[in-house]
Amino acid sequence: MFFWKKAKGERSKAKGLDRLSTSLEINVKWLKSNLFADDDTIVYRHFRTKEPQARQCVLIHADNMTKHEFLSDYIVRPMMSSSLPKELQGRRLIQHITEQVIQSDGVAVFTDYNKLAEGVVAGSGAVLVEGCNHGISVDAQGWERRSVTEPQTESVVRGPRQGFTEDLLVNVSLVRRKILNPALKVKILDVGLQTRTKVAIVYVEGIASKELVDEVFQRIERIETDAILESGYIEEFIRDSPNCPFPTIGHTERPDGVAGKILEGRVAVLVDGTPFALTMPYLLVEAFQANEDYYHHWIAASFHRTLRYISFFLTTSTPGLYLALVTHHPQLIPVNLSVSIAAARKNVPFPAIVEVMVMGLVFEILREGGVRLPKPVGQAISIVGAIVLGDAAVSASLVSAPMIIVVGITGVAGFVVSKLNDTAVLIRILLVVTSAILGIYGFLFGIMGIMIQLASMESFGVPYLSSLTSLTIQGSKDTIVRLPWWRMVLRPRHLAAKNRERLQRKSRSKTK
Amino acid sequence: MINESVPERQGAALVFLFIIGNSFVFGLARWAGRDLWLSFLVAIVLALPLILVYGRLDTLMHGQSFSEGLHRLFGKWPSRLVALIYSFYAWRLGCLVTGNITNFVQAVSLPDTPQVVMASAYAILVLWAVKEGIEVLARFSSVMVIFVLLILLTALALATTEVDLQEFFPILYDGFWPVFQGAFQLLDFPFLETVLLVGLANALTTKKNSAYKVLIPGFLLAAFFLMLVASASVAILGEEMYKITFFPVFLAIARIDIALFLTRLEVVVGVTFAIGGFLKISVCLLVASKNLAHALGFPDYRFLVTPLVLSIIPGSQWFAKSVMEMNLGATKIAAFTDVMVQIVLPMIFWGVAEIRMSRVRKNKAGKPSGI
Amino acid sequence: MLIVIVLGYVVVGGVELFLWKERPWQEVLVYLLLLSATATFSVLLTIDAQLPVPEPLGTLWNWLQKLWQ
Repeated sequence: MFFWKKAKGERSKAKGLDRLSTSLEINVKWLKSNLFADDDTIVYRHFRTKEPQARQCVLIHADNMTKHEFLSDYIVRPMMSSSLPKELQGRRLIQHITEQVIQSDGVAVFTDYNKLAEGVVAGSGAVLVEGCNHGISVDAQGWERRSVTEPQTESVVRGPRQGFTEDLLVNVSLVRRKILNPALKVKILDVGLQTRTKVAIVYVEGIASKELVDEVFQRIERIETDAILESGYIEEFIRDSPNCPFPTIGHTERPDGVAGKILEGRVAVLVDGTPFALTMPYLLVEAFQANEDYYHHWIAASFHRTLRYISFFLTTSTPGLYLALVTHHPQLIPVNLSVSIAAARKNVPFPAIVEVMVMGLVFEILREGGVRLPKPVGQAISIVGAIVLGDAAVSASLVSAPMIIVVGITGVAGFVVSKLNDTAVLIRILLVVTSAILGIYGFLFGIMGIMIQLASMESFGVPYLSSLTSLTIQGSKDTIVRLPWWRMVLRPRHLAAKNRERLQRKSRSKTK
Repeated sequence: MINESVPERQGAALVFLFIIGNSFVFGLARWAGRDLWLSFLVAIVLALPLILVYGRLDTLMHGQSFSEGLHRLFGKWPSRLVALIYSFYAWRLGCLVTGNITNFVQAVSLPDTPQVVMASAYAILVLWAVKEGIEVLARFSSVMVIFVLLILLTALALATTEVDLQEFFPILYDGFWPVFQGAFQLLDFPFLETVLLVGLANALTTKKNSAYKVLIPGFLLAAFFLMLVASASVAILGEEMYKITFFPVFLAIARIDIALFLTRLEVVVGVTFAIGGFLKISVCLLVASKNLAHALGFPDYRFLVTPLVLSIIPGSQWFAKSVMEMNLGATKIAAFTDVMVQIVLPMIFWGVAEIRMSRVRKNKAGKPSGI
Repeated sequence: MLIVIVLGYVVVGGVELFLWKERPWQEVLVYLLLLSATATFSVLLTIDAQLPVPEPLGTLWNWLQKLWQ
């Protein structure tokens, strides 16, 4: 109770003091002793304007958050060389400065310290003038940026080589350059009580449904946390089915990817400080899509898609199926194969389940070890893992040779569908366990359980399996196969319910 | 957000899997022997009007669940009694199907695993699925139906190497009676078990008249496939073999042997059986819980699911104690309850509903839907 | 075995009741009744796997046939 009272008292005191004073000295002193106390990177540049009305001024900015040349060329120099008319005072003087003196496009007038401080830490320069209780903040953001390069995680053979950077506005501009249409809307929110991270919500008006956009807004506005350091924070706060390992919000580093998604009626969320943009709603089929699918010939693209589905099946199911067949249904394997497997397993002292589990674990350890290591060391790890461990384990009769093949297939196939890699590991373990209990039926139960889970999931109100369950040609045009563009007449049903036609009649008839 | 009702095709997929369900591994219409394709045609012709009645009922009760519709038709207590009957019928069917599957699996591939383990595994999955509701089941089946169709078509295509069309001749050697016997058995199991979907089709559709689009294509496709599979089995095994084995389809597919490599395909039959059976049990238990909830006067059914689903574990053993009895139970000529539930009661509902409907129409011309 | 079965049902019922968001007494009562019925059913079947299936309609049918004769 006492503390509360004290805190409240302090706040009201601060409230009384948070407006700028007319005295420049008091203002600077207050800033130095309160808001910017113990902060050595804040620069106070004092200067004077010309006669006849020579006034003491100060430019406050955070070092290295601003462009120095910009500040000196467009703020300090014009102000020093300009002579302010004598009759102007206070608010009107400030107005004169913003209108006639400062040569910058982003100018705002403020009257309290907090606004000043917010602007300065975000990279603006703040100008205070003796005798005025108004200040001017000038946009002068300029800091070290990574240039726009090809994204590491999603490199392509054919397609644009642009990737997002860590700078929100650069990212927004990358998207806007793809969609030169005023219907592209960008709304910026501040999220994070401490970090105040800028978060941009990007969508195409008229294609994305109003409800979806509102829902995204509401969910993001509901976030009350200290920090948003990466889009993963936001993803976890706003996603559906938070406890399910299947992703219900997508992420991409590619502007063309984001443009494609929002043109289908999705909403993208770009977060300052990370090159990963979020797209929502996210459906299961998207995990099997790649940007390149849309740039290559449709038959080739469909083939690659199909490969991805098969790979996902292989990476999740091979160990489980192997286990089910070897332990429960050896009669289902063709005789020759069965004999050779049995011969290979003859000297192995462990039951098949132990073999499967241990090898799976070893593989995951190798992978985890390789991921974050510097590239040369990572290669060494994979050589040690593949040759030394695998070969030695077989010749020492600790593991059977077929098991190495199973693990190999599992691992390689897992890299094909990289977006579901973590999910695949969990599914694999589940299927191994169920197969160990009930053989091929256990395997099937595992699959059915996963299907029920997937069927019950939604992402922002859209059923997670929606294009896979449509059972129509137009609904499944972009799932396991990718139909040619001139066949994709309609946008996805659940995403752009009101504005579905994306192919105009002219081009439809031309193709015939 | 976007109001997601299950589109008609998903509903049709559900109906398809429901009818295919556990039935296709058995010797359907075994009385008819080599004439079983005739039995199928007769049964389809006989079942179609009844299925149309089911569809009409759904259309009349548009926007209401089965139990709400009953309530409107008969008032409080009679509707509760009817709901209880349907609940029991659905529960019994669920138990039978579970018994079938556990028996089948134990007989053909996991002889050492106790049936209780299998039944419990099913119970867990069904419990989950039923709690999720009909939309999830329909989405589930619309993904699974693709696999099931692929498996069946592949198996049928490969089976053509073994087919001997001479097995079908002479036609009608034993006269018409066995054909009708087979047809009646087909009506009871599995065609008219579709009656359970009457209440659910309302949840499946938003548009008027779409109940037909759910029930009819699903039914026809399923009946057609069952006919193909059963006929192919007869053509492969011969009439005598078809009549005396418990799982003729399984045996027929097991005959497939292409280049010593494509063998042992019967396991895919087991897979299909397991998927279809799961869906059928889930639908049965869903109907059972919904109707029981109505009979007891509760608006929500979900809290009843656990005890009901758990009771199919002992129930499956109770109703189907051995492969022998199971076969008799699954293929016996329409029992009294089945006739009641599948034919008599729906006809009564239909009549009453039509009368009420026309009265409503007379009273308030222009006011649509509802009984 | 019996103890395991009964214990299993008790655990399932307990966990599920614990997970309910609200517990109106009618629903709890019906739930417990049904669950105990199921448990009894399981126990009976475990004791006697050949538990006969009651056929009220069968008896009715027999009775009618007798009456006919």
